[in-house]
Amino acid sequence: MAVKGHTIGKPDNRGTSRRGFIKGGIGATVGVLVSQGADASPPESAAEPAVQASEAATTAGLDSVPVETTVNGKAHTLLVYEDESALSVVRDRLGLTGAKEGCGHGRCGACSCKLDGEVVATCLLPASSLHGRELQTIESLATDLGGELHPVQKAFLAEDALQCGFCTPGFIMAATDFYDRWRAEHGDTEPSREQVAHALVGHLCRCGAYPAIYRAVRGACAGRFEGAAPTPERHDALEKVRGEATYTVDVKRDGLLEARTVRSPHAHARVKGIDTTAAMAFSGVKGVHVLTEVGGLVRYSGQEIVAIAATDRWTAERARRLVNVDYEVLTPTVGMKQARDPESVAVYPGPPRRPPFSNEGVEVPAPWKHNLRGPFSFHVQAGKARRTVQASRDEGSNGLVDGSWHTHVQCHSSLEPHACVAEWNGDDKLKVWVSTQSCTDMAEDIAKRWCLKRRNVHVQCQYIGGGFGAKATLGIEMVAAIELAKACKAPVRMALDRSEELSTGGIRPGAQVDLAMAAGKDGGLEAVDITAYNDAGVAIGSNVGIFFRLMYPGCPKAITDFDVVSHAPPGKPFRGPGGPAAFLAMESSVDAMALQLGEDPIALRRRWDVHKIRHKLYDWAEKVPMWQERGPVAADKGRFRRGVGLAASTWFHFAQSNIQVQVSSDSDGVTVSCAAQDMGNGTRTSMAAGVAEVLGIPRSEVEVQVGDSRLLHGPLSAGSRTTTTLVPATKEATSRLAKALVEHARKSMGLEDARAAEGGVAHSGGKVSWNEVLRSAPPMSFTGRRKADKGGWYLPFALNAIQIGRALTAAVSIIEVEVDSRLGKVTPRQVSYGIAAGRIVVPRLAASQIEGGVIQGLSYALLEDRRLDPRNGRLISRNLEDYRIAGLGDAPEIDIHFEESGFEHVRERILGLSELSTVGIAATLCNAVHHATGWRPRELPLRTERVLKGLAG
Amino acid sequence: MIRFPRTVNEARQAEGEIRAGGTDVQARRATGVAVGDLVDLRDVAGLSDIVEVPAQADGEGADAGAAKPTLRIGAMVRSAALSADERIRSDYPALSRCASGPMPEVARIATIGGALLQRVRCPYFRSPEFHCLKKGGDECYALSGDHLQHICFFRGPCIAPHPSSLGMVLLAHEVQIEVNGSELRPISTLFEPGFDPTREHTLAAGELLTAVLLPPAMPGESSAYLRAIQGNSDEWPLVEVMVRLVVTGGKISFARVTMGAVANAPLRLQQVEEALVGKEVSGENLAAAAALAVQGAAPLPQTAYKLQLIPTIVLDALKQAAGDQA
Repeated sequence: MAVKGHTIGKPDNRGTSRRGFIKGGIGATVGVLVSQGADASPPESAAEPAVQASEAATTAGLDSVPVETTVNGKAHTLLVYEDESALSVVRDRLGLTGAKEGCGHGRCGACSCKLDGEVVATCLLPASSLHGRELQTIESLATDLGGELHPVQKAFLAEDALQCGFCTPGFIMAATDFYDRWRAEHGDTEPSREQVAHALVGHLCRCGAYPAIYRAVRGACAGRFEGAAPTPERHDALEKVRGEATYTVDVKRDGLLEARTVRSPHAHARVKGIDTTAAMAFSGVKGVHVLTEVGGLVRYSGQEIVAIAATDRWTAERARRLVNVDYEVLTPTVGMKQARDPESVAVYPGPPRRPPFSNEGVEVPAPWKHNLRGPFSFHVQAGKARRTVQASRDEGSNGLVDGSWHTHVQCHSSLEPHACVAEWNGDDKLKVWVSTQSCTDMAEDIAKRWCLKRRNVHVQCQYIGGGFGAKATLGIEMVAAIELAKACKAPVRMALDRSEELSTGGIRPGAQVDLAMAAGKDGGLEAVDITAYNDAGVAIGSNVGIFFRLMYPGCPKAITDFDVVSHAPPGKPFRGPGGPAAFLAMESSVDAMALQLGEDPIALRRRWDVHKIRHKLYDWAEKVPMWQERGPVAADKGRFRRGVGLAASTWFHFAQSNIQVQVSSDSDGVTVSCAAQDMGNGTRTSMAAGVAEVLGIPRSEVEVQVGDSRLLHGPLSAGSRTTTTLVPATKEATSRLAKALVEHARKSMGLEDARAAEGGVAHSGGKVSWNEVLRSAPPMSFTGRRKADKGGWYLPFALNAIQIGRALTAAVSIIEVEVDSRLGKVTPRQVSYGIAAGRIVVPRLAASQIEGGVIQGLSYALLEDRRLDPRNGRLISRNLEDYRIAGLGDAPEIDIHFEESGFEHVRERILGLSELSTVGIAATLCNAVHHATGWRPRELPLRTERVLKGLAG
Repeated sequence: MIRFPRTVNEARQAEGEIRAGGTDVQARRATGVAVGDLVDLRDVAGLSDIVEVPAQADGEGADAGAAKPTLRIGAMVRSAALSADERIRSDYPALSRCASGPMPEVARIATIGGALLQRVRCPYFRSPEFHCLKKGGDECYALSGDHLQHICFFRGPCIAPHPSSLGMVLLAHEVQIEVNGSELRPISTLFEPGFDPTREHTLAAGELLTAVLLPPAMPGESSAYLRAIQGNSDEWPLVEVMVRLVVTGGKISFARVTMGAVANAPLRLQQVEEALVGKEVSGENLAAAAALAVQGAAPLPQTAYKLQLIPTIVLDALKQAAGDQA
């Protein structure tokens, strides 16, 4: 059933290339059907049975049951659906959006509320169970405490125990409950880490704020936060600990419809027919939008076929199941091994038009051979490198490390799923709320795709519940919401559920890295030969090899990358794309080389490494107690074996030069604004810090506006570019403002010898505060840009608006592990992380981000394991029970050392650190496992059976 | 259609899947794996209490006036409430520990009846995209696909491990289950490994689990509940073990050992129990007994590693239980 062009009003296809605009995804938009309600116009074509659905044909909707309940002290009589959750009652029916749906199956804790005084997972609590009972949400805390904050909330503010904030209300509910019980029983005795982990088990924070959560909960229980509310370290922390931060999934609009998608279970199929008759007839359904046309090809299980909008998501979900899609099921190619078999089915038979791109930056053309794309090379004297390695092999040299490393696919799985709310005003004005890493880019991309004026597209994203790279492009949730909103003439929200998020929400590609590293007789690095095969499903563009150009230079290197495509969801950029696999292979090999050469791992790196600031980190590392106390390899022979590992790592210095920051003032104070976004990385806080540094005032006095495309051009939050981009621009604009205010003080206030000083304007007679100057000054506004670093950029032009800086950040990480050799279990005990990314703007937030990066790296190396059925390519790990993310109990103690020297040529000496904090963690952990046991892991994650097998030899 | 019966008889006669706390049912309905009518036990009276049933006057404990009573635990008692009950905490600490988890927010909703009768956690069963044996299909996709978490004993046609940790612990306590408000059966009859790939228990249509009768702990008994997991947070176990021991004069006089996550049903390890009884508490004796725990194992291609975990986790549990009495 072809449905092309069925829209209300104008034809859907306005001559834009549809496939091209969904940068990170696949799928073409082809048509919309709208349920013919009283106010719907007839479709252009009457050939479509589904569109003909009359009132009489409308089938009954969902069954409802009456419920009488009390929520936050207020009695409600409601009709709820039989499958509806208590969470849906508070969020969708009562508009209390503090509690969040993270997983929908009781595995993340974000939905925690109190039922008759006990904290429960409301996503699993049937709505009908609320009957005769009382529920309290996080919103009740403020009422119960007369507007005061609970000591746990104060502790979360003071310790910065949150980043994106999406999981925070759930943590606050559980932690306040634990606090109340603990204090009643133990007074102000401080609970141990283990006791806190036990009490909050099952609560997940994807940003990895666990170290701060430990500090906050323990400190609150110990009575350290009973006094006045502290000034938060983080600019937007207060609304997050109160559950008042409004994410896209929380946006409320009159008449808002909710959309769900029908997805192909088949990894490889052709759509032969789509029958939406029954779905359209279902009561409450308002419209259907086809995302893969009849005749279209399905290339991965989970590919979107149809989106349905209905009055609520329970109705949309039920209607979704009524859509009948007829597939011609084709043989899929599953996994890299099968894809490399020339007998396997080609994912892109013939020249592919434009596969999704899994990396940041620019796509470079490369040849295709069956499912293999490449080579993509970064050679330095490749022939010589290969000859040297071969000679080393031939002579059985002690200076050769040679092997393969396998990394797995990791899911971004932000706790807030991909979500979009679209609302049209007429045919030419569009408001979009979206969980995105770039509200500026989204406004531009949406304007282009729907042929709208840029100024008529208003994108908002005040709060983003985690990004990590997968929310950087115009995704299918936006396409579906915008198209359905247009067709249904009503605002529409499309939010992925957890299984969709784990399936198509974004993955870090897996990789096989074949690496040979040869040292000469003098122990110098003589050659590197590396070939990487990247598994990004149907996507291309992964790169592991480039990192071998960033470290240990000065010798011939053969560096080659291949994409291996298969019938699996597309990879997307994920915090340090390519880094974890590259550093696992590189730093494991360097560790092995040191051992073979009988040299200390730091001493060897000192000889090979030319990065001056990383040498300072080696100085620091040598003094870290756990490193100093480290014994020989595999010293423990018993069941529990301790070991300490180390790895070095690096990341690029990227900045975005086409942004502008505005700093304005009026009698109320100073406001800094930019169409940037804060996804927990601290954008608001660092912008405020930029203003505060120039004016010498507290950060908290600065008003910050972000998350709105009507503000000046903001950066994409990716590539660790945000702080290094925005703070210098902010400071430039603020300096201009300060100059004007001084001028005002001199001219209008008559202050002699007026000059900018800490906190105000100094003059011959003393000092006046900025506030005093502002009171008499007219409103003013200045902009600032991110100018090039001294000495310019690495390339004279920008790539996708990214400027590549002439600097590399540096890190050295040390991890102590305990290996239970009988249960095959690796437990990280403590982490020391030394990092050189220039000057640290807000140390507490920088530390939070590093702690989070470390925990994400550990979670990746130890637990996370995206699994597809090996035969048909369907997702097996489709919930957070089967896709495990590190919890509190998995988080070790983390100690951070900032090496702030150097990088004099970089603006404000500020560089990014988000990606750097995670890329070397898997390597560090594996080196620690080797040190503990003598077994060198070559495949991630360190699952029980792999560890047991490895230890058995 | 959803019904809210008010009596056990009404509930027995109602058509549809039983919903107790809902933690299992809701997750399956959200994905469309479970559909159809529901029978919600919310309003059924008499299922939510833990009450003491006095010891039989003609039993062994007749002369001991202070004999502890059997506890009748209603099927709708919440897992967390059982865990927190003072009598359970003091006399059945391992049961208390097991019932507290894995996540408190879920244990406060989940019921004892639901914990015993929940469906398997196999991801193929839980995915709406596989019509597997458990759903009445004709193929076990896990067997030919991914079965890292699956069984290593009793190769029934469905290879998903039995999901009930609580069932394993209660098996060690030799509880009786109460069916339809009156009939008592040993819990061992509830779990019949591999008998029917579509089911996890033996209750017939129209039979409702209404309570569990927990006999008094042995005098001087100690217990341990341990699970082998990959990380240190909320996870389903790879192997889990329950041990009850009584040590008299340095010798083991009573032992119950059960194991979960390894077979279609919780297993009672009688060979381990027999190897323990009469032996002195020593590392060697405990290890020798623990080694017997793998007897009869039949691992699948991806689950042989569980055979390495079993003797260790069983020994850990034995040591923990024996250690209490040392």
